[in-house]
Amino acid sequence: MTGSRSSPGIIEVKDLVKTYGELNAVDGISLVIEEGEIFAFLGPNGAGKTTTVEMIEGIRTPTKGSISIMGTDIGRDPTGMKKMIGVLPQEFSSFDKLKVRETLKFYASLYSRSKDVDDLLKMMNLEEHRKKLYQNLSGGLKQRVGIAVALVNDPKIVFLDEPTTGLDPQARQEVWKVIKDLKREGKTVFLTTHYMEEAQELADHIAIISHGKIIAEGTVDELIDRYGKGIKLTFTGAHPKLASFLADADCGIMNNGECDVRPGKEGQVSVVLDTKDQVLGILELVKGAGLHYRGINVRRSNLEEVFLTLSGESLKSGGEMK
Amino acid sequence: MNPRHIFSVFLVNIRELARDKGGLFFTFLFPILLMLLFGFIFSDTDETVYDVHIQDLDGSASSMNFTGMLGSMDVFDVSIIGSEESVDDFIEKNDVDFVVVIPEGYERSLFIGVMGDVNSTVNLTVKYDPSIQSTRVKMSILNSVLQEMNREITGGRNIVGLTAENVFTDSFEYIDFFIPGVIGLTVMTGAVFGTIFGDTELRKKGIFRKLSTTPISRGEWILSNMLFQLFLAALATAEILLVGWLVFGSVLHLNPIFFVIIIFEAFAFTGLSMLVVRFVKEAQAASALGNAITFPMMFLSGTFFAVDGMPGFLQTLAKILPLYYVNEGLRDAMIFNDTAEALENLVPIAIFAVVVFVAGVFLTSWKQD
Repeated sequence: MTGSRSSPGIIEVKDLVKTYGELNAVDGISLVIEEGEIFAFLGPNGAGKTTTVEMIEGIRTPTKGSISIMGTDIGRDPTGMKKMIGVLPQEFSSFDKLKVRETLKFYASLYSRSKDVDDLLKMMNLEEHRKKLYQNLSGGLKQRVGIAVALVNDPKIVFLDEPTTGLDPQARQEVWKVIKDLKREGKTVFLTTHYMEEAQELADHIAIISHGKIIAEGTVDELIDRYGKGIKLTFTGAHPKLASFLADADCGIMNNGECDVRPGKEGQVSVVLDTKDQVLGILELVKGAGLHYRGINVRRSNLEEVFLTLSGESLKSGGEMK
Repeated sequence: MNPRHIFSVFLVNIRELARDKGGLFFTFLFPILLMLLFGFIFSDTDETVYDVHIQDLDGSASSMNFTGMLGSMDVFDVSIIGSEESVDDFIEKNDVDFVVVIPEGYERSLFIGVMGDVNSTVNLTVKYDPSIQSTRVKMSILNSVLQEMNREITGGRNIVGLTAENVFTDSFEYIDFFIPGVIGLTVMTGAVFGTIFGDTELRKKGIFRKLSTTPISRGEWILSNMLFQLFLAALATAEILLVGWLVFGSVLHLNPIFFVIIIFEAFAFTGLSMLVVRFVKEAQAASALGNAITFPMMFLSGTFFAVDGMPGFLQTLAKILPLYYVNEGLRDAMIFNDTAEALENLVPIAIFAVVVFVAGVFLTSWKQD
């Protein structure tokens, strides 16, 4: 399911399969990642995200299928490929007793061409921590070092596997900012995550994986339009008759001519709609009837609801299904 | 092979060790403590009975009387060397450190002296190894015996004296035996624990996974770690030899085979550890595994005591342990300077090293399943 992606992409994956005994951990995945975009590979823990990305990075060997990066099969020139990619592995950690700058120097020395380590420290906002031992850094700083390490060879493609797992909200925001900067620099980012809001915030293109298969793919808007539950309009402090008014009203302006009205507690009334025009139509109707309310809240459907619709399951914050 | 990669990994290892107090202790201080402990416990034990060899070239009643007198003393265990034998050959062949030679004409000189000729004296020749502490004790006991004898015969005038001749034998003290053992042990534990802890930790932390996405090859990584282990082995060996010399006065031979054995030993135990560590996931299990490899070898391969003194079945067991050949080879080279014997022990350890190291390189991988 590669949708209307323009081929050839910078990464092309075709019919990828990884089997462990009886289990198909990855079950026929095809993907096209375009140059310069942030691609999010979204799914719960155990869905096959990391197995897939590690096959693309060359850490695991596929059972079947083909992977090419910039038009070259990765098996043909593994060393050349390693120079083009930068990888932040899942749960990355580094040498405990090396200082931050020494860590970057070490990884930089493994490449024939590398970025200036001090520029990288500056870019990642790590300058004041350059002399600290890796083991003494906070989780957010460690992750920033990991991303800096992934960038030492100035790669065209950056793989970030669960870059914000276990981080507090502030550290997560910092990592997000770095990822956005990478895109601005023209890098292609392959992001693996189980956080819906992360994919929604960052990704140009999303593929949702469940049980080793891609179940949906597209931009955030496309996915929400296709699988979302529309727009939820909520009145707060509403007139007692508002709920029955809306339920009885001529809902022709609404989807299928039905009003999906959900009375809530303490004067809250919600209506689920499809388009912005319908929202405006309802507001006109209520105004015309003279029914007062204290405030309104308009919320668009999000990826969480998309995932719920697609899989019938929702995700806990730890990435487990519930 | 890219030398820059190898140097970078080497530097990482040095930095990590330099900042790791526990690692520094076990690499450099522990072997010294072990050596001092065992050295002092076993080197200074007083022999209650001292071995003395006597060659009687006079064969007279008086010379036999003298031999009998020494033999009757509790402190001496007297053995006789036949008068036809060359004392020097006997010393070399039998690792003997103290021989008293009664010269021909002993009885005659003694008789003339007793008769009143003040010029008639006779000297016993003592051939001994002054580098061995106990020979000094034997010498002083013999001196007092002779003084007493002179006093009894002449009332104080010396008829019988001593001529001491230094003979450096290949006899050795416990500390000389123990130093090669402690070197073999240190190189083994360094290679085993360095590899097992290093590999387990780096795999658990995902550093191997990360490295497999960079241009460094696993061969370069392994070679660099090997060189680091050899570097540590060289430092630890130099340190042990220096302290052994300063504290115990132990001087051992630096036969070139000694260096070759150390190199193969480091390769052997690094390779062995690379193979077994594949079955370990947690640091705790890694520690148990390291002990499972090193402990039996430490006690059964003749590190602390000679294997010859162990029961027969344990001796057979010792001969299948690689460290046994390391210990034997190091002792052949360092104590006896015996290149031929050392080479014989080098062969099994070299074969073992090549097999496990090559298997370690080819059967292990950074790649995930």
